[in-house]
Amino acid sequence: MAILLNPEDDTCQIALEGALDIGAAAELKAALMEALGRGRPVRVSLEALTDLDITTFQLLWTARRDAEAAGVPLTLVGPLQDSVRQTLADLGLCEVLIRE
Amino acid sequence: MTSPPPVTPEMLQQSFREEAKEILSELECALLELHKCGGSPELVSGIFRGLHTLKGSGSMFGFDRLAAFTHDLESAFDKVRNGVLPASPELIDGTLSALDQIAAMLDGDGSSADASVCSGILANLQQLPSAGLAPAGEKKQASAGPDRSDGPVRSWRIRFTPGAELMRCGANPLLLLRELCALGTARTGARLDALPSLREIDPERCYVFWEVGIETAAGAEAIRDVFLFVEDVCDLTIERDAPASVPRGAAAQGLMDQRAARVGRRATDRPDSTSTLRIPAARLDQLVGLVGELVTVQARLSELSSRRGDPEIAQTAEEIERLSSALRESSMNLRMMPIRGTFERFRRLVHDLTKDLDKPVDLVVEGADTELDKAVIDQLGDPLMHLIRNSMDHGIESAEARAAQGKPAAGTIRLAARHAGATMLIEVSDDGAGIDCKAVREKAVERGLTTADAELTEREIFALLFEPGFSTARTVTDLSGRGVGLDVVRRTVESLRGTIEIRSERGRGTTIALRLPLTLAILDGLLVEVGEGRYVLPLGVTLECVELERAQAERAAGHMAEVRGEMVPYIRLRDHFGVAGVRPKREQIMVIECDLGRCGLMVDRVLGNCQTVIRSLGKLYRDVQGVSGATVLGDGTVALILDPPRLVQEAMRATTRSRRADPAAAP
Repeated sequence: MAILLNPEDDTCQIALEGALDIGAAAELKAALMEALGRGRPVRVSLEALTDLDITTFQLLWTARRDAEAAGVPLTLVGPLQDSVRQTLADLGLCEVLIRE
Repeated sequence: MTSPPPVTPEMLQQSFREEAKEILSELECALLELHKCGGSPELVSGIFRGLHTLKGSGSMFGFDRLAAFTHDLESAFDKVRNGVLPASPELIDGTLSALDQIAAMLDGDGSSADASVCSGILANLQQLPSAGLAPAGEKKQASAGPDRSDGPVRSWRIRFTPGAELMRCGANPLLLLRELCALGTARTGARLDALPSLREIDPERCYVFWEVGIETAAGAEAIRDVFLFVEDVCDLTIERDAPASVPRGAAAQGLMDQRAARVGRRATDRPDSTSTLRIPAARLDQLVGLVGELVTVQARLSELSSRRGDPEIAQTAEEIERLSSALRESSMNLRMMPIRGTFERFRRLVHDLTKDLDKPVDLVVEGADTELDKAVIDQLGDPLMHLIRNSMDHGIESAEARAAQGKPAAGTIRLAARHAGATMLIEVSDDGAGIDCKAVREKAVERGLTTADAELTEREIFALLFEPGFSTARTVTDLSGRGVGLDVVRRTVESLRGTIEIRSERGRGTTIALRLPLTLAILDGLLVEVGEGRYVLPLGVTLECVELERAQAERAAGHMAEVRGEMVPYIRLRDHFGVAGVRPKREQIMVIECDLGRCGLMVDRVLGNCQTVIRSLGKLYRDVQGVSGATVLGDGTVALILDPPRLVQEAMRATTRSRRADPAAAP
């Protein structure tokens, strides 16, 4: 889970790929903490995410909530793949992550 | 203190395998019960739930093939539950074969399960005639999985709060919610109130909880079934939405009924999860090992205190002795398990053999709750299976032969267990033809195991059955008759420090009795001395101790001593072990019970009772006959633990050899 620094707009970027579940949760938490710790705007790209579970959702959601509270913008960037949308819908979390 | 190793997916899979095997064996018992007594709704519901748990946990832990296969079985039993499909012998047999396939899927990578057999089983199940439901209804079930539409459509409110451990158990709330929503029309609402800050969040725990409103014809039971295998790691409330017109009192009463039903179910269906704990056997072994060390050190302390004669030390030593004895007892108890699991397995064996051999046989199980050391239980399965197969194959006669003798057409095999002192007695008996002593003798002569003119008692003839390579079966069948059975049984039983005995009456039946120690870790014994060496004799086989003057022993012909008017042969351990030195004036004969009756072991001196921790001998000494292990005594010296039945056999063989070499020489 690479954290890239984009010199153009001075943002931290994290690109999520494939299906993420509990097995990747600790790593994702560490990446989000590190990105937020830099004090710059954070963009998390969900385009290449093919599926997620509740632990992945929780981390993305709390990261954004905490970032907003701290005044650091954290953006979750779509569009989401159909499989991800279906999972979120089944979890009753439709449009909680991204309003499309 | 070392911290426990992290939980890996392999560990979770292994834990599922263990749980699944337990479920399979429960299912097998329930199916056989169903076959025997017909279906009570509880029994069928239990089978359905067992299959449901297998399916759910299977898919959770990545056993997808198993889950898919079990799903179809579950559907069939859902039909039985709803009275759509009768619990016919075909259904039961089909399901039993299916359980074998599921067991094969659990082992290794699951490749040993035969795909064509699986699809054959499912095809057969699908073709079973239903109890007259409209075909359209069946079609709906086939596509929508288990049919739970057994009532009017109602509204339910379900609140599902995953516990801290739910995700770590491998459960996935998504799959549960999907399954729940498939029951009807649902609205799922997730609540995020409990989510802590990113810094504090445990990334592997689910903090979200859900409220689901669902309109479904399924009952509370079906809804609860969705959460069956996570009910210990989540909080679940299921409430029926009260229609607005229902008065408050009635609605409240309805809720109370549901709550009562819920409490009732938990109390009766499953043991309370907090009251049992699954621990790897290795950890128990470690504990027992440590307790063993403690017992050894405590014995040393007691000896030291009695030598010093200091009352204060003596008092402390006594207290430690009492505590270590209590600790030993409770750590031993941890390893004790009821033998039920092993016994119940044989119902299936008898069920299958009844068909294969075309001999109707009832298996009667007694004392299944008798407890025994897990290590002993683990090794008992094979010998008991051999004995039951032997009884089915050679013991029980064909239905015609039984009818001709006026016996009931169905034979009976009794499998019984009970405690007898410090030992466990397990008996396998049948009401079959009994053992034909003449045939056994002829065969033994043919095989060179005895001579035609040897005078043998019935007991000695039965003992021949346990000789390697012995078989009286005229034809070799699939089941037994390869002559590898009984000697393997004897070897296993003896390796467990047990004894085996046959009683048989021609035309009435045969009983094979296994006497086993309750535990393999600690031995109650008698400490004896031969020359400089000390040995432990298991108390379980020792009958009595008699003293013999040297002069008296020398007068007696050969190695025979008179004990209460009976001549008992004995082995002088001093000679047997080649111990040099002068024999004491008075020697002791320990009279023991073995296959061939009473025998004596002559020792120099009996030092007293001892409770010892058994240590196995190293590789180098493993093949030493007559010694089953060693123990460390209180003073730090080592004593060998004797294996009396082996010692006697060994001596018998030596005598037979010398007799053959020189027939004129009397013993």
